[in-house]
Amino acid sequence: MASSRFTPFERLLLSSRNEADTAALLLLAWLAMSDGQGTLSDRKRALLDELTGDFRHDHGYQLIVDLASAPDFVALQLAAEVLQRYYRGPRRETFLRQAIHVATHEGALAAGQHHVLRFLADLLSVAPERFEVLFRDVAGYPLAVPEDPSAAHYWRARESADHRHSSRQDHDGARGAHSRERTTGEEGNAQGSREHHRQERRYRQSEHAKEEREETRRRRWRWRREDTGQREQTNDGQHSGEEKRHREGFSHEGFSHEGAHAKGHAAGNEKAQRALAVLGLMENAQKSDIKRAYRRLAQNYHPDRYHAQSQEAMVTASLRFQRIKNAYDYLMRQHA
Amino acid sequence: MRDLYRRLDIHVSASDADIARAIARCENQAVKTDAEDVLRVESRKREYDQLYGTLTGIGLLRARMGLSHAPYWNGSVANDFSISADDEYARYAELKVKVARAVRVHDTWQQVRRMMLWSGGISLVTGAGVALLVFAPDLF
Repeated sequence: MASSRFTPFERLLLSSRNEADTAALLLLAWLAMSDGQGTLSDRKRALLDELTGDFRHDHGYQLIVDLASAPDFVALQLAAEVLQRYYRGPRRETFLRQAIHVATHEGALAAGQHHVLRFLADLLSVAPERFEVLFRDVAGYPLAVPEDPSAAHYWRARESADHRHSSRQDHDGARGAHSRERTTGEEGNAQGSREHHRQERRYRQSEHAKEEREETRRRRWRWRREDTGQREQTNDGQHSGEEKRHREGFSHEGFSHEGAHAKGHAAGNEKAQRALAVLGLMENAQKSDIKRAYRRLAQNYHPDRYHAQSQEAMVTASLRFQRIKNAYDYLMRQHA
Repeated sequence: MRDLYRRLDIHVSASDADIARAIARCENQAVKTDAEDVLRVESRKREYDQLYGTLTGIGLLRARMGLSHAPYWNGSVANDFSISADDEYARYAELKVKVARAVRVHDTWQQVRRMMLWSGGISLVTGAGVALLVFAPDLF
């Protein structure tokens, strides 16, 4: 049996007006401070304050910052257990959105933050597919694979990218002297190298992003194929791969946003055809046909039907349903 | 990310000389070159150690919370930073036990105090009665 004294964090939890919010605040502070710098800058503090404005923590802020910077894993374990216990349903995703926002607030994710974020997702048992959707939603770019600083090639790639980056800056002539100083005095200057890392990370992120986007597209395409089955496949038979991907992007960005401002007649026509294909209809379908097709598909594919099945099935079903609904809405606007 | 210290069979806090010796006697060529490139450069080692600390902590948390087989814990990270679950009980349960014990102590103390007050009061009254009987018998 451990000692019967209460640890500071336990006292804080006991006196807190809301245990779950206090625990969430500690975990967010930990996430904010795992960026390799280990301090809570004013900006991060302001962000935490803003995000946790509705968390009813009224005291003990400094204690939380201390615990998160040390990191005290006993306190973190307790916080994680509290969170797991109290956060259920949609609250989990709200929390993860906050977490992603905190982590991506200052440029790209640091390696440590990658792992902390993934831990939080696992903790709240949010499936990777769902978490990637959330991440993309909040951060605006896909979740990358964490880098491996235990490998020599990671550092070599990073430093060569640094050099490339600085030589480009030289060409620009804007901050030439500054960057040259950086490349030579790199080892000694911790602040400079940190700055470097951030820039370089951002640079790599943009290269990475393209790859990742392809990957997500492919994965979504797989879903789609499973979903709509044979009919879709026969429809797609004559289209090229490029066309498929194009359709894919379209169907997920939603008919609703673009439909109203169709640029030209041709574009509008193409969209209408795709929307019809989603509903499994021919080009000359009437309004009544569209309604009937929509009702039938909506009944078959409504997410509520998949409620009892796995989470993945639910996600798939709701994506599919969304696509059907978007197509229907678009067509209804066209016919109105 | 791999645990280079574990693969070199040394502790994180090992001195530079120890690390150099461990690298020299390492037989796995891949680990050897990587360790040479990462741990022998001061700035890289500092950053690596920071991440190492975070991952060790996450490994510990995952082991204690039964998340060692969760979907996001995979690859070399999971291989190197997983620990077998120790006998650490759940912290929240521990907190509850502590609170329960504190409550019990508090209740017992309250009971004792009440009893003491009562007995004190009774003895005070009897004492006063006795005193009156002794010193002012003509009152009765």
